[in-house]
Amino acid sequence: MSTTRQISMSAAIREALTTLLREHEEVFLIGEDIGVYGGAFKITRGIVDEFGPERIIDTPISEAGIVSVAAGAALMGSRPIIEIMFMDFMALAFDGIINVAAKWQATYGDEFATPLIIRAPAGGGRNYGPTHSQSFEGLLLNVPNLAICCPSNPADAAGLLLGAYDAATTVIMVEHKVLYARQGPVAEHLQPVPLGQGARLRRGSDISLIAYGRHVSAALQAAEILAAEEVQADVIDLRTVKPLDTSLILDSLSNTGRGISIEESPVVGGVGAEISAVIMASAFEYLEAPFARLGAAEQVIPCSPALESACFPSVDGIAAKARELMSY
Amino acid sequence: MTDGQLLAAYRTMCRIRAFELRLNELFLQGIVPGTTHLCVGQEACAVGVNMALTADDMVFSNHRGHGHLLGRGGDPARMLAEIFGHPHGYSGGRGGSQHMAVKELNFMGTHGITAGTIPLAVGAALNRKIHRQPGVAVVFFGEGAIGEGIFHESLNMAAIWKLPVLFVCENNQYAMSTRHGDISPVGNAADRAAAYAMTCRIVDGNDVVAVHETAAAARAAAAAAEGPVFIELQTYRISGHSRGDECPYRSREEEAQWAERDPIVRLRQRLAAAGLWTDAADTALETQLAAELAEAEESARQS
Repeated sequence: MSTTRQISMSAAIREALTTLLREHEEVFLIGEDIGVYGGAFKITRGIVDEFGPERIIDTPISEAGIVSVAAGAALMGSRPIIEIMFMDFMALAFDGIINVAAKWQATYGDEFATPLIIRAPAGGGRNYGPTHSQSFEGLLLNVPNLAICCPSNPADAAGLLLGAYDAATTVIMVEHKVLYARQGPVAEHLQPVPLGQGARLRRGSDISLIAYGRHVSAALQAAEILAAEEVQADVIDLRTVKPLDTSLILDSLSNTGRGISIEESPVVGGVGAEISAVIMASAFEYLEAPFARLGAAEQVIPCSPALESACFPSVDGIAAKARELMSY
Repeated sequence: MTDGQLLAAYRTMCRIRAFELRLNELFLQGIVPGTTHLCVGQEACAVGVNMALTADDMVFSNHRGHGHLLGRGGDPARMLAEIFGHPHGYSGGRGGSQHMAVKELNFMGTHGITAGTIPLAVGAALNRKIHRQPGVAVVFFGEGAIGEGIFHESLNMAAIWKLPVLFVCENNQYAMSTRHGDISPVGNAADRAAAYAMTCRIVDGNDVVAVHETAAAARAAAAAAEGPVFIELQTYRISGHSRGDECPYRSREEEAQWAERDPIVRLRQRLAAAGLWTDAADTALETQLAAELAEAEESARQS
């Protein structure tokens, strides 16, 4: 076991980016204000000092162009890592993601790979309102040939970046912005996390709480509350929502028979919907209660702190839903 | 262009024309699935530009890409196999008429999204610049593509980073049915590119010599790190937009006027006037191309 240190998710991501830049000359960073300014969330702060503006590329405000230009560079052998300042702005770049990055290799063959890592600060909790708070993992789940990572802690945020590099496919890194400052243990030498592997953070036999990103800690807190009521929750951190770790999900549900998915994006057609379908297809006979989904409400994400909180799952909401399922 | 180049250009233009006309017949016979976008009338654009390029250059195309690929040296049999949806096709039958790429030719893809390959060419050039590799990126698109936002984002980035890109706009007068004058406040496509402070050239796209000269000069400038060049090739799509287009948006008179400027007819006249070509040579070429195509078709059908 290597020793660990406590660092923030921001620092872990910065370290992973620096590692990739040092180890692979074909890696470059590209995005808006990522150079001297260090990005809107200061993730790339200082990196330009080591690698220079030729590999830390500040762009015009052109999200569509950033993604597709990076895809063109990837096609010729580069390994671009893109920062989209807020995930909401990724909507402007969907052509490059859906029609190029997710399609070129699949259409034209393996010589035409366009591996992109697209990082995006996402999610609510900062009172930024309707167009600076969204999280598109649910939406992007519907695109074949994309991988989507949603880390919940510093070690995974760094490890998934290394795993995304190794996977050499197009990977969307959904970085929840409220997690950036949160500290956690990270190995002295960063360890890659393979895509598609979830983690069981707490073992329990009564109900499965399946979460990712910022709601993982809410699920763990809800599990503590439930434990005091003699309900043992099995807490799963998906880490990547695509590919989904279906074997871990099914292993959990076949033990508990009850489960809740907790997601950042809207529940309609989202991550929980997909998990529900997986369970229906392969663990139906184990269910002792209907599978439940918690996620963003079907509305714009409001700016007002009170309204915004009500829009997303909460610790109490998770616990309440669990009690409901336990008494089903 | 040397006499040899002129003759080579003529043969390739005729090869493209024969390919497209035969494909149209096959479509009308209901043999070919899906849709297709023919480049009949635009052969001088594909050939004049391609002949100005080197093997290091990276070519990006669009939905109307058969001529671009044939001009780069694409194999008609594998193209037909792709269009037929067979595994031996360039994209294993997944792509069809609008999606073909050939790595060994540095032909990086035809594509079904208007303007979608313009940023890819910019990115390919960015990769060349970062890694100090030779070669320029070339992208073919129609004048309709300049209505897309990505066109402007791409030209801007290529200009500010002084990337080696040739933006080749084949202005064939119509974006599907829409006349260029109805969707642009300025007359030429190049007028809109000029805002990005790059060299812009407007050329008779039905004159292969003019196209070649302009492309060669533009390539040299781009390769010398002087930044991107925009070339507007004024041409005319003799064929309809795609299968089933009866061209109700344009007059037969207009078509007749452009037919007089058919790039193949003009080059043939030029070659004949220079004593380089005869009617007998033309008949022989026609026979040769038909035989080549029949062989390609046979091979494609069996794949």
